Amino acid sequence: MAQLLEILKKTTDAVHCREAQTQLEQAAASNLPEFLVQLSVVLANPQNDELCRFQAALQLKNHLVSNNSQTKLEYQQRWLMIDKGLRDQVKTNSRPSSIPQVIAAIAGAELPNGHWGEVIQALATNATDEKAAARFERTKEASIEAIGYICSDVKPELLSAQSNLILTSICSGLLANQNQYIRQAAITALFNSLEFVKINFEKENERSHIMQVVCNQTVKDPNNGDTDITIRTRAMECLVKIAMLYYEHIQNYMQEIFKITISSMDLSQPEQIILQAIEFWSTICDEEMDLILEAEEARESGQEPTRVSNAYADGALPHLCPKLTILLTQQDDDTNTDEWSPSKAAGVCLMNLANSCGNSILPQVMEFIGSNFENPKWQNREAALMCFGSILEGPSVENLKPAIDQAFPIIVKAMSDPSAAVRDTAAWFVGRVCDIVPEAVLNPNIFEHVLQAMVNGLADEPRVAQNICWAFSSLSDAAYDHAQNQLGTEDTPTTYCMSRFFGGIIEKLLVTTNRQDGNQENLRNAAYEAIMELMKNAPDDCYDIVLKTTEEVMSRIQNLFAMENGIDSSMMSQYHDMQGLLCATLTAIIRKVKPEHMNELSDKCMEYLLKMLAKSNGVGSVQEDALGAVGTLIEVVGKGFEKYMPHFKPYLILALENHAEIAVCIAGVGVVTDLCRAMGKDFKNYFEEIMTKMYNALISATIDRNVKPQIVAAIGDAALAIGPDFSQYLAPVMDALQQAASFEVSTNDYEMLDYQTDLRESCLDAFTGIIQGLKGTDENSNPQASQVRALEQYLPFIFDFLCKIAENTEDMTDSLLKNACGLIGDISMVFGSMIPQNQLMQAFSTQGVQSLLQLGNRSRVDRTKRLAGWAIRQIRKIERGQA
Amino acid sequence: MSENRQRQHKFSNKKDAARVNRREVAVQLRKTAREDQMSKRRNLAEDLNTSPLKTNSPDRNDDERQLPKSYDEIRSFFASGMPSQVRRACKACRKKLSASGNPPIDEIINEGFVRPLIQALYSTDNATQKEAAWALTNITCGNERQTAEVVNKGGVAALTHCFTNDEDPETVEQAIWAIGNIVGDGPRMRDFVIEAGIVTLIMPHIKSEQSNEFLANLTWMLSNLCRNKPPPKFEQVKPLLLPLNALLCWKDPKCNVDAAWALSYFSDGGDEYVEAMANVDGLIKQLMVLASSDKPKVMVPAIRALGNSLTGNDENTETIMNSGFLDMAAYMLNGSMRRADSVIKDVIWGLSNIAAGTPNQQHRLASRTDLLREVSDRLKGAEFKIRKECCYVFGNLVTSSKKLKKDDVYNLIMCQSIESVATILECNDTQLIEVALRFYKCMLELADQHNIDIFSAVEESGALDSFEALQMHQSDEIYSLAVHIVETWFCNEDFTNPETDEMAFKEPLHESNQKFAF
Repeated sequence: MAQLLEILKKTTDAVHCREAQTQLEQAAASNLPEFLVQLSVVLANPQNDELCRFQAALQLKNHLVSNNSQTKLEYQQRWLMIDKGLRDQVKTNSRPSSIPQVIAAIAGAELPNGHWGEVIQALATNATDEKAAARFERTKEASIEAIGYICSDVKPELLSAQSNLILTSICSGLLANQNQYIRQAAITALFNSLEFVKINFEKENERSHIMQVVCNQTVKDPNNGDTDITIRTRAMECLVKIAMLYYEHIQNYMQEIFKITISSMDLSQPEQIILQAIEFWSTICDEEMDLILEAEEARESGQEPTRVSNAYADGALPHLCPKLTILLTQQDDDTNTDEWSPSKAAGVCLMNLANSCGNSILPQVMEFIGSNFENPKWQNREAALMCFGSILEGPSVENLKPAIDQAFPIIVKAMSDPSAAVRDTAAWFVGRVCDIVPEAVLNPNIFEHVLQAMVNGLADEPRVAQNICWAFSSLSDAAYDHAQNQLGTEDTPTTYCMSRFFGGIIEKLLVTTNRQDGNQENLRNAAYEAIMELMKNAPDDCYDIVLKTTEEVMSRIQNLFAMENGIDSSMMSQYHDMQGLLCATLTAIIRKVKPEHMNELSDKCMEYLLKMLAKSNGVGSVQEDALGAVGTLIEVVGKGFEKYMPHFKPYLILALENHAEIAVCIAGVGVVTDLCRAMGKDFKNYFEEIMTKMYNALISATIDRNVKPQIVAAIGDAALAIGPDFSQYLAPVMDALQQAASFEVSTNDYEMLDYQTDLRESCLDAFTGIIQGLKGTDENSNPQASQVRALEQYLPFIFDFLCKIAENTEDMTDSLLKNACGLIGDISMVFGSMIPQNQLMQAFSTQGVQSLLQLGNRSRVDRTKRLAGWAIRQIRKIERGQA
Repeated sequence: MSENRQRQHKFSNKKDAARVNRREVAVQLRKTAREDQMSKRRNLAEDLNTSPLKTNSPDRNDDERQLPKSYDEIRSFFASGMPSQVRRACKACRKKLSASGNPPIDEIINEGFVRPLIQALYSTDNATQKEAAWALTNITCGNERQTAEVVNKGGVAALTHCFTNDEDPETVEQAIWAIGNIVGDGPRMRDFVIEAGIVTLIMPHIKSEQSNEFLANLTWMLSNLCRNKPPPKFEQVKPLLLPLNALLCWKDPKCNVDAAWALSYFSDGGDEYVEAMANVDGLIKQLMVLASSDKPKVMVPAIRALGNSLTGNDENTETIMNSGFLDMAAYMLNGSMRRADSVIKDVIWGLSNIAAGTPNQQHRLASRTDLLREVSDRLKGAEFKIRKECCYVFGNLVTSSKKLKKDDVYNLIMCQSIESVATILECNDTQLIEVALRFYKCMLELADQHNIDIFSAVEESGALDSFEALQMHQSDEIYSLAVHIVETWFCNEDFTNPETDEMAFKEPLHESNQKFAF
């Protein structure tokens, strides 16, 4: 014991601390339970040196939790393996000493496994027993603090049964007569407990009490003078969280919250308070936008929405806007920092207000914008631009366009403002307009002026130039769309309004990517992205420049390889960025280059891409982008890709085996589908090896699930490629597919529901690929001998699957419907001549199949409609005995 | 401060969004490639560009290359006046409007193509008529302004003209679809179309020889004719009842659903409307069958229609009851099957209307102990909207009449209504608290009248504590009701439970901070 104390003491002195650390580790390794008990004994004895006790607590905690979630789980299991007697000893020793983190760490391991249920009761007793608190004030504070840690750490459902105890403790800690440390601990605990006090929030009197307690902590205390700023901030954070969790319950308190938040946006208030007040309103906007969407969806499906927006944001607009615009102007001279500030938050809040309130924001801000555009103070000019740019998404184009048209000459001028901050925001504004109201920039009266100002801006500071690059990306997209709309087709237009300037812009962008300061503010990245967008959206008359850019990109890749050895480690990440960006640019170009030009290029392209993969140093983003380029190349060269396979296959296999970096794995699966389509029957040579790798990923329990739908769809592509030969793999593949098709989400988790939809869509793809593949393309073969008969035994499952999809109308998407109708048509087309008519007709006349076809027939999407019509006709043929 | 919020600032999100976008583009391109490949396998090329409704149309295959592409070309095709050119122009417009995503409705309008499309509806060529009707259908799918473009240029008359095409039912169906879109745009459009004589014109097409798809489409249009407030003029839509009844019984579920929706709107019009419905032989019975069909899509409108019908005069209520509403309700509320909250709410809403009916109707309801128990259970623990309706059932039953028989009062006690209504006293809906208080007042009166002791039941339910607390309520009505009840029935009692602390977690004793007026 004395020895342990000695060691613990040493950890606090710089000279011996490493040695002490090693000794402690040895002790833990040789007998962990004993070590933990010893530590707790040190902890429990108030006679011991305060620092030693602190170190003991720290050691104890570090053996119970970790920041790494996997390690934490292991630690928790390890703890539970320890003999119960010893564990109880540690728990008892830890309690009076009240080291909150230790208690929380133990509780974190015990509660989920059904142990130590009494801990909350014990802490609550400590927290509310005023006599105990009078003896030792720290007890109350530490107990509440421990409750707070437990609340943030343990799953809500384990605690909700004890919400009354928890709230009682917390509220007792928030009384005005408590010292500030207790109140700090209590408000933090309240913040952490909000998720699971739902039951209390649903009762009006309890809710009102909680709200009162929270609101009390947000203001200056009339008795004690200033309420501690940490407490006030935390209380404001509670309001934000309450708005998010309990929007439907806050109506009665809104007037009060409104007063609190508006007065908190005053310049006299501390920054943290202002930030939280703004955040409250941004959160209200988030909620109300969601509710408006929900209501729209409900109305579309003919139902009453279950919750509605109370339009608090609309009501508060006239009061919020003046406060927010003043905050926008509050910037120091050196503003270009990443630090979050009231001024930035105000901009974001205005954006959210505009998005949720629409046109009604205009009268609240236009006056401010107009009168500050040419204010002598740069802060005001910047604020006017910021304000205008922020609200662009909300109001209708008709209402906005006149104001933008009128402002554009001023904006163009602002792009050469003496203040970099103003130029920065002006450039961002132009980008926003290109994104949201492109018709305003495409207006022939100003188009060239804006374009000229943008090109000039590329040479400006990185923060300005970066915004310009994004603006070019959006602009090229909008201009291309406009040209297509004029033509009324989706074909490549012969020309568009940027054609005359295209070469010049590309040249400037290429120069920008080479700027010495290109790594600042994401400039290089933004410039390459702009080049990619321009390539993608190049009309016919810019094709020569696309080809020229190809040469430039190829030579840049060559230079990059030459540079590699001279790069020191600090530049490595920039080097990898460059690799990825060049691959992505190459992808955009290959997509555009005509096959006849690709022939000369493909060898060199592939040589470079293989080298890129070899030199990716395990960096996922580089591999992902390189694989993307390979996939595009495969699409262009088709069967001709075969000659690269011996060199490329090892990298593909590596990608498919890369379960840790899911983006790489997904990119690999994408390349597989490209290979299937390009090679057809010849894919057989690689089928088994590649299939095995994909199968492993599909059945893995630890892999990121988002790759699975892609794999399932790729299986369909592979089956289609190799044709009837697929039958030998049918059994294991169908086994895996049936499992995938049976996946069902039980919760209302939207992300999981989306995943379920993706997975189902892919299963339909796979079944379609397998049916069409097994059938083969030989029209003269004897249908009765066809390999596709092997699939017959699975048809009942497939029909059940279709009916399951039909039943779930809520999550129906058009692409799901399209695939379902397609599959129904495939089955009728392929099996129509094989299976007795009445048997098939019975399967097709179930309500599920019928409603899918009817829904498909009514789809607004042409492709879906066509497929449904086709399927209906196929079935009709069977009905009439014409199959 | 959440990181997500900070990413909303300026273009902080663009870099990551660009990569996400690249990935999505790759996924989309592959999907398209997969589809194209599949189209070839499916020999879809031959069947491209047939109308969505089509099943066996002898599609006059206009060669794709003969179709006008740019808007200028379309304009000159229309202007040529040559029937084949006009047909191609119509088809080109329709194809543009059928694009997925964002069809160029405004472009078609701004190019001035609405008028020639409407003119094409008068063509004698089926394909031209159909293409034009299809294109106009897609325009009327748009927003109100876009729909109004079609109506203002004489679209309704032209579309109803298509109804006279007796060669090609698909053209008629397409026209019905477009009309349905127009009617769905609100009461003004609806009444305009009705004034144009749609009801008479549509009648000849409602016949059993039509395909299911045709009838489903037509029924949907009819439901839009009945929809929206103020309701359409009674005399004008009354003729729709017989066909709607037929569609309600038709073998196609889609027709049943839309016919039920139509009737749910219809029944919302008022007594006159409901009475007319009740007079159609078998209509109410069929609604009852559909309401208990366990098919959610048709249940919801059928129950809504029945519930609406119960809000009318006593005779209508009687008709609905005699058609078996109480049995249907018992089946719906039976716990063995989980049903949607909105369905349960509508059923109980119906019961609450019966509870406000004639003494005989009240008696019939009050003798259904099975129903009372279901209502009482839900009053204690269901969604608030449902609890509200439950509260009205009990409230209406006892407050609107003193004539409840002793047995009925016993039934109310046995189903624990006293206990369950007590839970309402703690909510913050003033109107509902008032209903609950009146319930207790009348129950206590009825108990006196029939000499039944319910004091301890009221006290144990916690209601008494609530009465005490409600004497502090700011609403005069609630205040005086609470005072009245306590003073009349509970004044001489010796209360042993003075605590009014009902919070499950304890309120701290010394709260010296300022109070907020919420």
